[in-house]
Amino acid sequence: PNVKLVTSDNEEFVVDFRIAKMSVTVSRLMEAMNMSETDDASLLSNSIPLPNVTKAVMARVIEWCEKHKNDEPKEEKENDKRGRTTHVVSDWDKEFLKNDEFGRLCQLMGAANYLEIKGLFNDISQTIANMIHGKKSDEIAEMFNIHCDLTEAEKKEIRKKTAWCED
Amino acid sequence: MDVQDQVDQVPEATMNSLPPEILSKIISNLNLRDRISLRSVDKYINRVEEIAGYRKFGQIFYDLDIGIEITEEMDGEEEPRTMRIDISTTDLGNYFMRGEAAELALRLGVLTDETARMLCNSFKTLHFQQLTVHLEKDSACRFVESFIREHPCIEHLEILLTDFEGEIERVKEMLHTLPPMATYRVLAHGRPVVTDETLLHLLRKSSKNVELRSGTKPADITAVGLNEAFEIVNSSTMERKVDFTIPRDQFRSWLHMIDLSRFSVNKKRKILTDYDSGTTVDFSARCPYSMFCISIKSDLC
Repeated sequence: PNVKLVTSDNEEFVVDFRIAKMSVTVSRLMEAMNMSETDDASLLSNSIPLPNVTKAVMARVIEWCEKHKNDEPKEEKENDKRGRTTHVVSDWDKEFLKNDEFGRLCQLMGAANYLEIKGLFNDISQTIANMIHGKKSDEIAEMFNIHCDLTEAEKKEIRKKTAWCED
Repeated sequence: MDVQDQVDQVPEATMNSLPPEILSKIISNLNLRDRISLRSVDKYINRVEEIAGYRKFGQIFYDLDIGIEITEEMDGEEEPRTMRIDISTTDLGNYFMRGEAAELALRLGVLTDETARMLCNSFKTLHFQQLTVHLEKDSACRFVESFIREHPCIEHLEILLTDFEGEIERVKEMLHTLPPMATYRVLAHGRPVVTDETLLHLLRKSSKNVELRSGTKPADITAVGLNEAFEIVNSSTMERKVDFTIPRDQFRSWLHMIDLSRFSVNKKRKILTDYDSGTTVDFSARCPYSMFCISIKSDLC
């Protein structure tokens, strides 16, 4: 069975029921609209409005979901040897996201957050964290085109608090 | 117009335009050093970093002589890095606020009220599963009791008494007030801190393992204590294990006390196994030969 999703720019996407169910938000909406997998009529006569997602971003989300629709459900937490939560981005996901500029990643992450697709959300947040890893403040500011609005006094205070961490 | 063109038309997002819930998720994936770099990027990111998720530490170690050291695993590096915090210039309460550590280790010598206050305030909102306390003076017992009460997150407690000088009765009293946890480990080099009462209290309060080591002297545990400890482990439906030492004569008394036909005996490996439950009692004589090391394990272990 297929489900119709309508984006903010009125584009209709027809997706497999399993893909639609990967989004907690879409699942809840389908439930509220009494749409079920076994009731073709309910699926045909209804469409799910997604006012916070554009056509372009939706296409990327669906591409990701297509790849992951048969994945086994993951544990809530993947713990490292010290018992801390970690998220590992698979090779396919790295490839999927590698050509996205930061702005595009943000749009995709915003959509994953709104649609509540945890795997995609975690993949993107880890990808952005990996972009930041090992960089100094000015390099981060330059990479993300951020104008620093901290005063010299505030910068000095931050340096004082974090002096112990300098090499 | 294709999809790529449409994406290109969307105004470029910057990091400081991300909503706090998304930015804090990204920040929570970063290690400590990266988070510190982020703080100086701009005001908004600084503010979100201050309140975002948990700071993650490996071990946090406090010693009166050296201050506070943090052992942190950095991404892509095999060995954990150790960093020392300057207590005099760092706002510790803010620094550890809502932090998460694998272990907090405190080496407590003579503890002044001021130091006790500093430790309470610094780690007030820190979340840690393991607490290791290296106790050197009995005067620190009161602090340890209240510190443990204030941190219900502790699942594993280790108390080291290897350099302890002071009233051992006060330590026993402290052990008897400990709240329920998964595991307790008490290491008392040659100090008779463990009695039947302590062993059974800790065993009843723990949901998993109890380890009581007393160096070359056996603990003051009797045959009755051993028997009760066995029954507690034997009746447990969870994985349980308890290790302690016992005077040789008390172990012999226990062998006379129990119905030996209930057990299979492996003399070579020194293991008794309960036929019904599978609970085992490992016993091995250790130098000095006046004591036995006992390990009671449920069948699930």
